[in-house]
Amino acid sequence: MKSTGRPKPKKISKHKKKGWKTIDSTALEDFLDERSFEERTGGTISDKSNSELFFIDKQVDLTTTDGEKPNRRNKKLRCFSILEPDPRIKAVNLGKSSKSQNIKRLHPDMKKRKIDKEEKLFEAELNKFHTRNLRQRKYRKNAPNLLVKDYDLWKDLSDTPKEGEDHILDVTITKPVKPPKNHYKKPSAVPAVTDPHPGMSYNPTYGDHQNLLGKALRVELKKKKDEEKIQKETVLKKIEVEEKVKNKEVKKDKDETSEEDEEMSDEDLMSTGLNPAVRREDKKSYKQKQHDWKVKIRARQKNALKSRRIRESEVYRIKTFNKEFKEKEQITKKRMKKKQRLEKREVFKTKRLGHAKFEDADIDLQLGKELSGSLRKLKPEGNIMSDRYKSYQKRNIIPAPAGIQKRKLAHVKFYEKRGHREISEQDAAKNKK
Amino acid sequence: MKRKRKYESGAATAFITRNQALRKLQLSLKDFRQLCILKGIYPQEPQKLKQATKGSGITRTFYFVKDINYLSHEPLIVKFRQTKRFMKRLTKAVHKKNDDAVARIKASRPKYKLDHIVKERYPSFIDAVRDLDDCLTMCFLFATLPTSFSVKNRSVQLCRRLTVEFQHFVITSQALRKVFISIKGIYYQAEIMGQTITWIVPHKVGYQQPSDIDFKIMRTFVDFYTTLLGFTNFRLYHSLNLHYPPQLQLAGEKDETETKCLKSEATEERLAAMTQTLKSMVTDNIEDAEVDEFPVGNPDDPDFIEKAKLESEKLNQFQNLFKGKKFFLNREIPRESVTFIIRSFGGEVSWDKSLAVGATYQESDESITHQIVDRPSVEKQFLSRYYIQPQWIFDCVNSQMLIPVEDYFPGVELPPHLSPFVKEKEGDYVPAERKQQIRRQQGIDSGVEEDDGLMDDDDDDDDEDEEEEAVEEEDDDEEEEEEEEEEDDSDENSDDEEEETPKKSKKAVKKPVKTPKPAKKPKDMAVTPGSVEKVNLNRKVQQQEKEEKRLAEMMIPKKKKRLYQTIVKSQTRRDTKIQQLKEKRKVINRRNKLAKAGGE
Repeated sequence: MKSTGRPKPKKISKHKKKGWKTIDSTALEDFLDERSFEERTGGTISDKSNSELFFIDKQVDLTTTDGEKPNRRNKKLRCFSILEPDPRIKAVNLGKSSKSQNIKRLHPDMKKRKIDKEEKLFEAELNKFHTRNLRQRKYRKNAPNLLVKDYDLWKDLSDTPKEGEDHILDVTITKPVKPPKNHYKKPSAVPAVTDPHPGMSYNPTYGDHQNLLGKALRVELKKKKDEEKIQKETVLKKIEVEEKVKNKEVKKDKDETSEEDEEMSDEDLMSTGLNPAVRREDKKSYKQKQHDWKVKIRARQKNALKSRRIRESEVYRIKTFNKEFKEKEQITKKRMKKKQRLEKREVFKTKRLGHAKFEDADIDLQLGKELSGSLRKLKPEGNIMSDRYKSYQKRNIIPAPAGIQKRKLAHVKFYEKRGHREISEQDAAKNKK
Repeated sequence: MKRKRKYESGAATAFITRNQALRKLQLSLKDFRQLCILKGIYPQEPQKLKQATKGSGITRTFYFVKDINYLSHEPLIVKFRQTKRFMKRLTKAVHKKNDDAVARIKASRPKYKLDHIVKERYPSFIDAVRDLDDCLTMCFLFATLPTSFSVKNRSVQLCRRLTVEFQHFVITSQALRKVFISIKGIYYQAEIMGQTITWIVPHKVGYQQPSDIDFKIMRTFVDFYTTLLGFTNFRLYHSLNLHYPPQLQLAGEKDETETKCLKSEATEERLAAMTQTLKSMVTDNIEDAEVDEFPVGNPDDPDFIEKAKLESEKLNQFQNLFKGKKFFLNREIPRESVTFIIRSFGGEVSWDKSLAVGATYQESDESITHQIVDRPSVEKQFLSRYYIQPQWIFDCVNSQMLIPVEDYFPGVELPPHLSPFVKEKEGDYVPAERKQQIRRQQGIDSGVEEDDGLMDDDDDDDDEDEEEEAVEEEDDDEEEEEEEEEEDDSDENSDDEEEETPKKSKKAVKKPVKTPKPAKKPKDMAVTPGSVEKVNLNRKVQQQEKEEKRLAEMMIPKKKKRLYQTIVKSQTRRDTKIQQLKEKRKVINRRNKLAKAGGE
């Protein structure tokens, strides 16, 4: 027998564990899931007030209308855009206002009335402005610190939520890119402004001044020495070589005149080693090759045996090995220490950052004669601008600039007219006398 | 496993050449340079050049690839590109002689701000303060430049405003510590938030633009530094509760000279004059805050608190060096630097009102204590004040006390201006002038007999020794020497009296009167009453010490003996050098003496 209508729900006993499994709990689970999700993402919505959930969108975006297609008929034609007012175009200044000209033409009575009216309006406007101004001034006096603008770059940001505290901020705000690890490391340990030499005082002690002069002299001498060295290596050597070559040529000429050329023999050609001819007679025979190979193999075997024997006997040399290891370790330690020491000094060095090599600036000094005992007569020496420029280079902030090439002046041919020449010669003769 | 190839790791991939970087960032060299300077990214020198150049070994300018990647995120790059576009548009309009377009395009020049970079490079304020040396030097330099094609007026004005603001901060916080006039410029050292900051200010004389400098680079540095200094100034002002665009306390009072210029310019000028104090946001001052008492001191150093107190007292005294002094500057004086120094040590300054804006009192004011003059003679003199040369102020600051004014009268040959940046190590040669300064600071030398101190340099090592020597028997030569010196002193004194202006007599010249020793009697054959043999305790102690030292030297193990010997050797070498210098000084002094005698 079939039952008609809705099937009756199956009766399940709920007091047994077996019955629990059959209960449909998806609705409940969904509800719980939703609630936990809401709690995770900023509290349950039902508990929140309206102001927390919604905001009034004051900015109206006129350009887009939801879902609607732009009406083609109402679309402004591009060709008429010229007719529309352009805010960048200033109003035409006509010099005299057309209004005042109109007034001129009016009847005197009307004129007066009109002018009075305008003046009244103007006065009222002015009054309004003044009262407002006064009120503002009064207000400002009462609250002196109200209008201080905050330019504090390094203000305390402990009130703002940190990362992980505010989920929405974490997601929405673009975080600054992390700088590389060595970003905050200074390129050099040389101070930006080095302490001045005491001899650089405008009124130095004798000793200090002499010290400074000595220092500058040493630098200058070194430069001269280096230059001489280069001269020796390049120019003088070139001259020497040239002379040698000349001498040789002279000798050769002499030889050539005395003796005639002889044809080179085959042996001579062989000895020169230039592409020696491959000869058939020199080719190894099969037997010879076999023999050579055998000898080679035997030697290899012998060597292997020997090395094996040595390795086996090394068991007895453990002590010496240990000693060697220790020695090696000590050497590495020493080297490490030395390296560290060098690294400490390296921090102060100027690196090579480009084609050009950094050259220290000349020492600023004044000779004894140039020194003036008083501040009024002081003639400054050196330029702080170039000093800064050099300092940046020294501190590895910018590469030393490649030498600026001086523009070559066009060679001008000097020519004196004959008439002029006569006069100038006469002048020269006069001067001689 | 992938096959390992050459130049796929290590130095070859860590570095990038400048040209490669340019191509990667799509910037011109000028823009790239500017960006690197602003962002604080520096070229590198690879240790393995061969690797980094992928075999060629030619030196180039390298950057870290990571640095360049970091640069590529900089929003400033967009602005640079916009500027490039802007320049193209502008030049095009200019060449077409389309004036309207030029005006319109010019108004839309892309502008950029650097504050985010300042914040990025100096995450905390103290970092910024620490790095202020270079910034200040550059700003002070640019503030003095004449405007030209390469230096725009706007940046000069900005630098000037910022430096004036900074100087006002130093004045109010009394942070200045050292000053030094060199031939290059004036060095200043201040202590701000525990950081010593040194900067150079050029002398105010004709400026010559050096030819071998890339001005674009310098301008970029100044661009960054002005931003940095602006924000730093703001913060520094707020640390002292001052209004940030600084306001003068007596802003209402007007000067006669002000009528000649705009009101805004006048206030700026008065601010730059630095003669007035700044207005504070807090009305009640809490000046005399006492140092807190801590019951438990440092166990290692029980006098720690006492010492700290003494030090702070000393510092306070130094900071108020010119307090209560009223200075008047003649027109030949470098006004700005002198005003800055005097004001930062609590003095008052003014000058002739026809000279510049900011004069607070006139020359006829009777309460002026010092008038600073830099010319050989002054015609009209007031009795109530000292006339001194400007070096006095600098020397006072460096010796941290008011030194006697006698050496600095107009027309007098000045004593040498010593550098305060020199720190003598133990055993170094110390010139006589510096010794005198040190003694003055210790309070041993009252400063009245400075001539003595300079002349007999050889036996001023220890004043106490002299007393001991007096007890001992002295050689005849020594006595003679002393007598000579006395004569000299009296001579000099008489000279001084002749030259002296009436003010000088105000100061009582103290002079230790040395009683002449009775002449020794000729030795006769006679019986004299015996006396107790004098035991020179000092000498005995010295002998004992020497003995002990010798024993200690003998006990040095063989390993360390060599080191000890080298130390001793270097010390003796140094001592001989010092001795030589002393001898030299002696000779010079004697020559000077003779010259003086000859001159008279």
